[in-house]
Amino acid sequence: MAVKGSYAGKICRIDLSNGRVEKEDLSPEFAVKYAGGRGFSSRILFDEIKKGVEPLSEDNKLIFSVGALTGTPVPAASRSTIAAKSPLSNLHGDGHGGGYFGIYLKQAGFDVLIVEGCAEKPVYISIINGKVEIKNAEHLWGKSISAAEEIIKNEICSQRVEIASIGPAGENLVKLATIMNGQAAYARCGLGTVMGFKKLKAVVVGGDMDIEIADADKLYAAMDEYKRVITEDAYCPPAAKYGTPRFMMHRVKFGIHGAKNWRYGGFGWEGLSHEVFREKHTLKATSCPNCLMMCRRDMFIKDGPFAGTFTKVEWETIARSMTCGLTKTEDVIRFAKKLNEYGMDVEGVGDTIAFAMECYEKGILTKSDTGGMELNFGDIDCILDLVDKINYRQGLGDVLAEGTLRASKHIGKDSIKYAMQVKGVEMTAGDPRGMPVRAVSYATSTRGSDHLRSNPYIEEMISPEEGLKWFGSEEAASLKGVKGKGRMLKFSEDLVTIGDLLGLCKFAFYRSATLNFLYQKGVKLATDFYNACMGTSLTEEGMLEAGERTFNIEKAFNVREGADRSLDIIPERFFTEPIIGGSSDGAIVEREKFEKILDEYYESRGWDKSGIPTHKKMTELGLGDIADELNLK
Amino acid sequence: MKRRWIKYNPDFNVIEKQCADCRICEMVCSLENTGKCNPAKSRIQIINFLPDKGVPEAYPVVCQQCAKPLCRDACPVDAVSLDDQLGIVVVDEEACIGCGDCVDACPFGGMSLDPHSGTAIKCTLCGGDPKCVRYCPSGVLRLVENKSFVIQKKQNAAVNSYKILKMKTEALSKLERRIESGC
Repeated sequence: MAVKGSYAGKICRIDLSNGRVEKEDLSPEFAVKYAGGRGFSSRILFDEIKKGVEPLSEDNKLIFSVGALTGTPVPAASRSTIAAKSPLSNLHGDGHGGGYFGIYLKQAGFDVLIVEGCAEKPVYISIINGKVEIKNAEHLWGKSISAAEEIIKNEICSQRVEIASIGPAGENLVKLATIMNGQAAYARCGLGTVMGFKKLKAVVVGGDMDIEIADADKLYAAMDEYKRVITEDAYCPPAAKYGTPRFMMHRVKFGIHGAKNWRYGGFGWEGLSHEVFREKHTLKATSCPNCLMMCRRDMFIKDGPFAGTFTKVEWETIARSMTCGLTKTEDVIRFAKKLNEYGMDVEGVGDTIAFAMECYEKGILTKSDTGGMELNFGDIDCILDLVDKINYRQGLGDVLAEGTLRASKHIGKDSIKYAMQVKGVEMTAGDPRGMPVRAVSYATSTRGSDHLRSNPYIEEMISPEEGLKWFGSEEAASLKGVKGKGRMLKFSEDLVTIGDLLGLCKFAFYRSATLNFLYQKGVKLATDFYNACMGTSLTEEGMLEAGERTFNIEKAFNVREGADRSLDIIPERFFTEPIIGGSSDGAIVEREKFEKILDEYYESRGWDKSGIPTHKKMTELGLGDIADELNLK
Repeated sequence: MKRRWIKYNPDFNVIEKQCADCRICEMVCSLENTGKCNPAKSRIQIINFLPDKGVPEAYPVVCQQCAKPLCRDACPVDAVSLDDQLGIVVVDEEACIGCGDCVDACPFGGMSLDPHSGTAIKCTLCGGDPKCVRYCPSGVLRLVENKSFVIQKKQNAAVNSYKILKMKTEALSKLERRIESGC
């Protein structure tokens, strides 16, 4: 039986080792149970990557999956997922990107693309209207993202194709490499490295297949309601005005810049404010597909020696620029441009460079290690030079290309203290000190340090009454509180997972000024959209459960690899060194509270004290087969 | 004769008042006109190009519902006609042979060929409530009607001309007063 609703209905499996292409039907049961995008890729990854598979081996697979609602007019539903076992964490890994890649993959005829094996020579995959070809890419090897895209577009003779490709970083097996779709990145977990190991330069997709909508009137009604909500939700208008650079105000409010390798909460941020980016560098507001928020900003340097530099800059680029001590917008744009062209994760690279700089500051690295280079925070020439060296694995760059955790093992001498990572994946977003749920959320994320696994902002915006009603304690609303925080984190993780299943953007659906708006957009409207497109009658609880199911599959993947409570931890610095300056001056993550919240979190997830899912819980979620395989109790 | 069409109405001085390239117009257009989502079948198309400085630009291209449509004149089988009631140009999909002469004749790029059937497709104004206008996030797509459009243009021109003329007159009389007072 063919699957109903807004799916293409097919899975494509390509083995690069022998060139075999297989097309399978997407089964209706699978589609309903795992609900698209990250749900599909996480389950397939669990099923097909056996325990202990080396991430950089031909047994690892790269799984592209399209959000359930991607390719429909649902606002901001453009996202797709790429998953693989991560070479940074040796655990579950995935990355998510907006842009047209997912839409075109679906219109080319596939909801999921599984790439297996390794090619002998560089190749790229072309999928146009169901026709799959593996083509030579030797002439593209070594080319930057934009240069390779241009050559491919000329070869395919069409502008209406989308390309997911790696740059030189992925080719050189830099573990901080991303897969890029134009300027949008599937950034985390070293996915570009896996693609580079497979000698796969790019995947090109294009097509004009129809995507079905079960009930167009219901869809329009939900779209009208969404339009109304984003005019009323106070979070949205500033987001639309400034794009993600507006998060600077949030970081200033809480003093959590993570500046200079996550030490300073007070930082000379004024030169990087959202106003400066808007006035000096924004030519016009742009948007990801179908998005009514228009928060994407491509930044342009108008004058001076670097005039004409143009690239997409999102908040994390600005945040990690502060981690490297940068204070000028031009420097941020130049840094972003280089990373986007090489195909590198700004979060991973930013933290890794900051790590090297702190090691140099502390005398752990000397000029003999750096090849004579002085590694000083805020020195843009040094930073760009280091990016080059990491990209081509030259000198110190060869060590840093392994990411902070492996680099610190190589360097030794206590340098692990300055490696800001969780499970081998570098830190993201804001400083967790003084923010209890945020601190634990970085530890519990299934793909290593990550704020987008949970969007840990609820504790900042709810009232004590809401805390009591939703999370069982008024304390949940206080940044000093403990009770209710674990339940809040569990809810928050399930909530935002919905976005990754359906292909909804987290900024458009999973950030709000109030919990009511957050629930309205993230659960209620998300469910309405899903039902309108698929012709189903899923409940809001069912939607949250789908999120929970996916999260548990990823947890199970990690448990099978041996992960337990000891890995659900954040860097020691946050427990022992107070934040310096800013509005949270002196704050630390209190270890006792951290552990208590983690206990409550495991309990609300139905996991045991050591963070292992129970058989009962997994069976409730319809994952009994996984529970059996792992011999869960 | 009543005519209505969709106009791209940006303000290049305001960053939010330009086509943001989100293409929700293409999605809702194809859904409304074909019952399926398929940007390739959208009657309005966002075209990207690089005007200068290497910064990509996006421009919506759609039928302007001409009073003397060149697409109609070019059609060898009379499949294109004016619908006086709706005030738009319509294609008879049964009669259309898909030769593409209408595409060639239109100076606005307003005609398309359906990628599956091969016949001509064009903006229908969704029966009077164009979905592209309804969901355009930057509000730069506008449905205009010939009479009010012309009047509005004249009104704007009148206000502008009035301002300029008044400024001129005032400046002139100031000058005259200075000459009279002899300084």
